[in-house]
This record gives sequence, C-alpha cells and structure tokens, in this order.
Amino acid sequence: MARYALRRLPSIALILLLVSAIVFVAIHVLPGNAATLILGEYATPEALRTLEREMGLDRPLVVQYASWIGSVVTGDWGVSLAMKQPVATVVGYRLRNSAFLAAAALAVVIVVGIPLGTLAALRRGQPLDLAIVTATYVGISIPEFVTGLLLLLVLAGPTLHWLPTSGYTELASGVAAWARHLVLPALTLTIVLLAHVVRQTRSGMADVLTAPYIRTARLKGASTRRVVLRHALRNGLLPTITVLALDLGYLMGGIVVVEEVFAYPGLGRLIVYAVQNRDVPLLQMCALVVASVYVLANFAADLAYAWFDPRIRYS
Amino acid sequence: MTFSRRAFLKASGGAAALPLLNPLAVLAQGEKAGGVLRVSVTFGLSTINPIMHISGAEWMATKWMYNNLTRLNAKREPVPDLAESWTAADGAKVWTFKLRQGVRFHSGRELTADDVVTTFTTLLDPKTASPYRGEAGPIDRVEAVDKSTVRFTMKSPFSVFPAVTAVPNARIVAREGLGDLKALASHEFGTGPFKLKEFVPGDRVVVERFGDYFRKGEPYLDGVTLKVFPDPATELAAFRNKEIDLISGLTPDLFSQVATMSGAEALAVAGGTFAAVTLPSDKPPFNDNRVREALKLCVDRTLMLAAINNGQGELGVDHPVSSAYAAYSPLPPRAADIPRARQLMKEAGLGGGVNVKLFAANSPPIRERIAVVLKEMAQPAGFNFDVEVLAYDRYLAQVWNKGAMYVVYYATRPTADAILMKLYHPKEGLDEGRWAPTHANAIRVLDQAREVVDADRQRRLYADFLKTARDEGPFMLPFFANELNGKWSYVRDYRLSPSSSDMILDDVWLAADAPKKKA
Amino acid sequence: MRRSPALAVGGLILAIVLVLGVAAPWIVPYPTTEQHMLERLKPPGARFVLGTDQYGRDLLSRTLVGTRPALLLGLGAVALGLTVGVPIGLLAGYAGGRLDDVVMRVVDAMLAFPSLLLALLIITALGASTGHALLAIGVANAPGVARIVRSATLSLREAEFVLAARARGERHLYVMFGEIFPNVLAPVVVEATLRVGFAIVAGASLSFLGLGVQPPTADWGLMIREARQYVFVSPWPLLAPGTALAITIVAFNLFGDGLRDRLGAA
Repeated sequence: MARYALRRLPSIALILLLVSAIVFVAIHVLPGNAATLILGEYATPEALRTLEREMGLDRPLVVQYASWIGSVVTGDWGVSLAMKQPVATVVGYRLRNSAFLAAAALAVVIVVGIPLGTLAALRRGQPLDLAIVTATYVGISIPEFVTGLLLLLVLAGPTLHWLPTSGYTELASGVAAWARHLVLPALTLTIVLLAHVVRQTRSGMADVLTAPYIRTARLKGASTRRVVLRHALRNGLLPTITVLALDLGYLMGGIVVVEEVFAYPGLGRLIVYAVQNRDVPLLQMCALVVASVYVLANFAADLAYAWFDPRIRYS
Repeated sequence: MTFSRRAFLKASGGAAALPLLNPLAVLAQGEKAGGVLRVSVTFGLSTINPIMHISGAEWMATKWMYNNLTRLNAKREPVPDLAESWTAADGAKVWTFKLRQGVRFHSGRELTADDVVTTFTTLLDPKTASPYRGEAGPIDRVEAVDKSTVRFTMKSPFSVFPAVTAVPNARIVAREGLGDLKALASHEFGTGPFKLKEFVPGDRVVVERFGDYFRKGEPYLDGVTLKVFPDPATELAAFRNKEIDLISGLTPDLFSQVATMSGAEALAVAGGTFAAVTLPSDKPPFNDNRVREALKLCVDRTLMLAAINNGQGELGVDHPVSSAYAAYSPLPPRAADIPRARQLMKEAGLGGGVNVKLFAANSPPIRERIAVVLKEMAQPAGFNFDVEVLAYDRYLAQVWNKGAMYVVYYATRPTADAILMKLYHPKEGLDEGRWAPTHANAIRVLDQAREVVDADRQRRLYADFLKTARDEGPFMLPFFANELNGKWSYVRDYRLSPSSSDMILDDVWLAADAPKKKA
Repeated sequence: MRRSPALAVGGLILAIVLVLGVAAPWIVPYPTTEQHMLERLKPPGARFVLGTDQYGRDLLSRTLVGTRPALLLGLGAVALGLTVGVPIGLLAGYAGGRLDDVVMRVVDAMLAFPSLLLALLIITALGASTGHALLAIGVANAPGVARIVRSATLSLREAEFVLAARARGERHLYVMFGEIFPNVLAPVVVEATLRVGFAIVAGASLSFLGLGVQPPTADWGLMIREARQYVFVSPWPLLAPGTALAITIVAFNLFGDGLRDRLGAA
C-alpha cells in the first residue's frame, strides 16, 4: 500500500503542473488582461502600455510562465495583479474560510447521510424509506441559490433573526459567533449534498444487500446489524466514497452561488474575481489549491477502497 | 475624552475653520462622541490607492482617510479643505493655493507645499499611468512657492480648476507614500479624519478616528466600517437587523422598503449619474441626424425611468448635465412621438426599418435594462435592435470605445466641464459617439467655456452647447439616477451628496439609541 | 418485477414537461419579450396567470418558454458526459493494471481541474450562451462519470459471471459491454438521471451568475437572477421559475429511481 502511495506522488505533481499550464494558456486566450481591467473605461493607450510593462505583462508568455514557476518553487506565489497583495495571504484567508464551510457541510452529510441512506436501503419500500426518499427529492430539486435565499428570508429575516444574514466572523472573536455565521451557508450546501449522498448510499447498499455473500451471512444467522456493519457497509459505500471525494472538490471551488448570496468570503468568489480581472498569479494559486484538494481527496478515496474491499487488487 | 473635545471646540474659532456645528449640537457635545458607523456598498473595494482608484466604494474610503485642496459643497461649488484660499491670475492660467497651517498627517508630520507638489507630479507623471491623469486639467507645472503656498501653471486658461482639485484622484498624499506606489494599495498616508485600521480587498475597509485631525473636535465617530454586500437582498436584510447603519447606493426598488421601515430614513438627492446609448455618428445609420432624432423620439422617458429606476431620477434630454451641476440650464422635456420618428426614418430612406447591434455590459444592471427597454420602445419606428449583453471584462476588451452602439454609464463628476469633455471631446475625452469630427464648432464652444473666467459668459456658452447636444448629439440619454441612501435615524448630521461616493463623515455622529456593537 | 409508482409518476410529469417545452412557443398567451410597463411586478391575476416581472412581461409565458433551453441543456450535457465517460470508465475498471493507471491519471487531471473555473474560462472565451454552458457542464461531467463507472466495474471484475464469460472464451469488448455494462447500468442510470437534475441546476446557476444565457432571453436561472432584486416587492418572478425548476428536477429523479427499481429487480 505504501509503495502504491509513493508511486502516485509523481503523477499527482504532473497533474498539478498540467492544471497550471492549462489555466495559464486559457486565461491568455481570453480577451483583455489585468491592465485593461484595472484601468477600465479610463484607459488610454499610453496608460495601458505603461501598466502592462510595470506588471511584466509585455514579456513573452513562455517567459512569464517560467518566471512564475521559478518563484513558486521557492515558495513565492507572487502578488495579486488586481489586489496588489501577496497571493498567498489572500488565498490562505479564503481557503481557510472555505475549509470551515466544507468541513461543516461534509460532517453533517456523512454523519446524517450515510445512516439515513443505509436505513432507507434496509427498509426498502416501507414508509420510512418513502419519507426519506421524498425529503431527498425536495433537497436536490431546489437549486442552492433558491434554497439559500429562502433560508435567508425565513431564518435571518426580521421576524426570526436567529442567525446573522451574511459574512464571516473570525474564530478568535468567539466560537459562538463564528459558528452562527457558518450555519446558513453550510445548511444550504448540506441540503443538496445530503440528498445526493443519501440516494447514492441507498442505491449502493440496496444492491449489496441482495448479493449472495450477504445472503450467506444472513443464513448463517448473523444479525442485521452485524450484516450491515461487517459486510455490507464496506462494499455498499464504494460509490458513496467516490461521491464524497467529488463533493469535497465541489465544495472547495464550486459553491460560488452560496458564497454570493451570503457574502461569504470563500474561494469560489475569489476564482470568479480572478478570472474577471485576468489576475494570473491569483488565479493560478486558486486553481492549484482546488485541484490539490480534488486530487488528494480522490487519492484518499482510492486508498479507502482498497481498505474496505479486499477483493479489489491493485496489480 | 468629552471634556477635551469641548475645549478643542471652544478654541477652534480659527481662521479658515469649516465645521458646520450648530449651537444645539454643541450643547449635546457629550452625546456625540463615539460609536462605529457601519456602511455598506454592493461592489468594489479592490484598492485604496488614491492615485489609481476608479470606483465609488474606493472613493468613499479615501475620502475618509485623506483630504483634497478643496471640496464641493451642496451647490457643487469649491470650498476650502486643505487649502484655505486660492487666487487666479493671468486669465485663469495661474492658480495659487494657500495651505492651512498646522495640518498633520497620520504619521505626525506637518503638511507642507512639497507634499502637494509631489502628489500632483506623481498624478501627472505618465509613468504612473493614473486613469485620472487627463481629467486633472491642462497643468503645465506645479511648484512650491513657499512652505505653505503652491502654484499651478496651466497650459491654457482653465477656470474650473478649483473644483477639479476636489476629485477623488487628487487626494493629497504624504511625500513618503509616493516613493513606492505599491505601498499605497494597502497603506495610507493621509491627513483625513480617519486612519486605516484594516483593509481586505473586495470585502471591507475599517478605519478609526484620527485624534489630531485639523478640524478640531471632529470626527465624532470612533471609526467607520465599509463592507461589500454583493447581494442587495442580503444587504437589506442586514440593514433591517441593524448590522448596517447606512446603505450607500441603495437600489431604487429597495428604496420604498427602507422608506417604510419605522426608524429608518430613505434619502434621495438629484444626481448626475446616468446610463446612455451611443449613436455612432461616423457611419450609417446614425450618421444622419434624422435617424438620431428618430431614435430619441421613440423613448417615453417617464415610463423608462419608472420601469428601470422606479421613478427615482430626473428626466434627461440627451445631454449629460443634470440639475446637480453648477452649469445646469433647464431645457423643455422631450416626449415620445412615434409618428414623427417614423416620418424621419422615411425621410432618411429607412422606411423599411434597420437592424443594429446594441451592446451592454452586464454591470451595473442599469445598462442591460436600458438596452432591453429601448429595444421594445424603438421597435414601432423601425429600429430592430439585436441586444447582446456581455460580461464586463469582455465588454471592455471587445466593445468599449470601438465605435459600436453600446450603453455607457457615468457617475456624477465635479464639474460639467469634466463630463462634457469626457463624452464629446476628441482629445480631452473619448468622443464615444464619434461626433466631434463633424461638429468642430460645438467642440470649440466647450474649449472656450473652460477658459472663460466670467461666470455668466461661461453659463451662456454651456447653455449653447447643451442645446446643440440635445438636437444633434450622438447620445440618447433618458434620465439621471437619483443618489439614494438608506440610514437609521440614529445616524445624525449626515448629508447625502449628489455624488454619493463623496461622503463626508467629519461631523456625522450616532445618537444614544444606536446599537452598542463592536464593528 | 416490482411495480414502481415512482416510474409512473415521474414519467408522467416528465412527459408533461417535455410536451410543454416543445409546444411552448405556440401555446403561450403573450410573446416573451412583450413589455407592459404599467403592469410591472403584479401578482397572479386575470390577465397574467402567474403575474408579471420587472418589465411587465408575462411570467407564465416566460416560464413555459424557458423549459426548452433547460431540458436541452440538462439532457445534452449529461449525454455528452456519458458518451465520453462510460467507455472510459469501463475500460479502466476492466483492464486494470497499467492501462487503468494511465487512463485514470488522465481522468484525474480532468477531474482535478476545478469545474467552476472550467465553466468560467469556456464561457468567458466563447461567450455566454446555452450552447457553451452545455459544453462546459458536459465536459465537467465526463470525468466524474468515468470514475463512478470504473469503481462499479472494479467491484465486478472478479465476479463469477465475468470469470465464467471469460472462461467461455468471450472477447473483452463483449465482456465489457455485454456482461459488465448491464450490471453497472443500475448505478449509471441512477447517476445519469441525477446528473440531468444537477446539469439543469448547474445551467441555472451559471445563468444566475450572469454566465449563461443573456437578457432578454427567457431562461429560468436568468429569471431568478433578475427576480432577486425585486423579491421584496413581488416574490412571483422568483417562485415561477423556481417551482418550474423544482418540478422538472423532481420528475427526472423520480423517473430515474423508478427506472432503477425496474432494472434492479430484473
């Protein structure tokens, strides 16, 4: 297993390099550059040229890319073209915020979703299953931005005001305040993901529960709980694990609509900002961070496979 | 704290002191101190560099941390800020400003003429690439006559200069801050009533009281927080919950919500901000003035204002000088007249209609709304507009200033000269309507107006130009948007400026019933 | 074979949605771009069955017309994702070894590329439209589909019926598509119908962010984007397209689950 892990590392590095190259090329294909965005409708040709020269945007593309790689290797992620702040600081802050949100949402989804899905699979066709299934339908059929707005109006509006409307408080200012700001965006995300995971678990577990080796275990007199925990869960969860790994990546970069609605300072909005302002160094680090999360999450999922299902061999 | 403030007040009867304290306020002095004002906007805040910044939220932030030589009063006339007086010589070609004594930067150092000279030299230096370089006026050189006198020599007479020194990009920056311009993006070197405490680009700016501000006794507030709320609905909810004290840039549709909230006030002031459609006059179909006129006659401006801006505004007659400008001259409103429009189209040989592409950036939203509504309104006269809405970054790269028909958007400027030059002049501005080459006489009127010192003569020249702009100009400008703010009543002595990002907080205070909260 | 109410109900709703989508241009009471300025933001009434939006356009007409782009985008994007992803996943899971490694590394690279960024770049480069949104969402879907199919295939690679087929001398292609594929069909079908729902939501999200179809086109995500600002004045511009979205996605999911029950029990 350890050897397998080590063998994967160079390919992970290669993947990240590829991602950064694609991002670099893609953003230069887009019309305009950071200078045009900074000057906006006040640009004059001379001002543009001057600014481009100052930001090093007039150098050949290969030189710009090589120079960026060179500084990254020494740990210098550069300065954001639009914000004029060190990229690492800006991204670090947003990454941490997104991480909190992702962790909160995933925790709920795992703790609640897997048992719910298993329960539904065990009680196939019965009222409990139908209730769970109906709830998941509702959860996945309303888009996050609608759910978010509705939750906002109900829970954070003037009538109830249980929760703050937006933004983010530092953990240092108090755990309670920090947690309260996380609730609404996390809840919005959870609803959709929960539904997805419950359904996948239900589907996977239902399949497995009809498999011969499960029937054998049952015939041998094993209790349902033992059957589920010992045998079914391992294999039934394989598709779920894949989904969770995908979800983690989605959470880190894709929840921009929820971030917009709640004014949550996360990575998603930062990525949109970076693209809109053609802020190459900022975008590169964001892309690599999100890509790394995906890659590492999938890698962990692969390891989990092997652990859960001894039948899977990595030759 | 409060006692020393009283002492300052009594001692501050100095020469050019401006504080607008009324006697009643002095009596309640003790209650005025303290509290943090929380202001919200819906976009912006990428930088706090006063030489380079170009958007409302940023102008607001630097207004609190810096001062200019002059500032504009409610009538948009220049009044003293860092300069206590100024004189013109040689037919408005030489301007001499006398600086106040004893003004301190946040670093403790005293303001001198050198700081002013360095600021303007940096602003005008082509290497700085400041977006506002062209709008500072035809400055030839700046020099320090002595420690507290600065002389500007213009290339040509420029009578409106004292109003121009009030623009956001002419904030006076300490010499030390101008060496390495990178520092200005996240640090400040100002003399303003507030010091920078925290700046998170795209999210918020937090400033705190500067105890040694030259307007003694001010500011009353302990600090100000400016926060970006990208979603107006979230912003309004936060305001309702008193997490925000003042909404800047309140949208017209939410204006009535604020107006009906008990304890809150919705403020509206006539402004000069507008969205207009360019009618490129260098090629068909708009090179024929009959076609331009026809389009202008298609628009029911009252209905457009009602639909797009909820009636919050002032009708326009296709030129950019609203009642918020000192050079304003009223002209009769323009009603829609579809039959006449059709007639004109027929005369121009376009009786069968014409297809034109109309571009609009998707930000701010008013642009696409104008495009969508214009498309419907112009249909009956034979205009078939193919509306294409673009993301702002693509709009900048592919549409802006390239001679197409698109929707422009401009905020209120300090002087009519500034906005007129920007829109019509081929050298000083963009001439986005591609109109100047065929209307050299009109442009000459603009050139003259800025040189003329006699106020009456200047007004007549502008009136002349505005009539031409209305009748033949390359813009369809339906209305000016009011400046709208929402605030709670406990925010006192706040005056909404016709240019809302020109937010003076020197003398604003919070009444006792303001929520006691940390920023 | 178990009777499935989900299949019937889901199928019925889907059929209705499909018919409405196709027939919309002929059955709408008003042209979708026709503005009635004096009747802005009105609640449901006699003249406008679902009310009007901020320009006085009929919400019922706009919602109906918005069905087609939503369906096209959802189905198209998933079809694209499946066409590319299923064969890749089968191949990788079945072959195992180095081929699996190589293929999955490529898939991982595609998967690692943040889908939001991918969509943003595609749309910024090519322009905002339903077609480009479809491309972006389809491309973003493919690697995920491949991964799921691969994981299901991996579990079955050593199953008895597969070994039996190989022992019988069947060719690899047949084993992959003839033996394994029908058995991974269940999770793939569930996945596909869920993904149609997600693709429709993704498309609506892109429009909501201003990255999809542009005004004045009638599109559910775009309608919600515009409705957001007026939600305190009238909730109908939000509720009409929001409900339409919800109904459509529920229908796809019901149908998918019903289909799964049928196939699974077979």
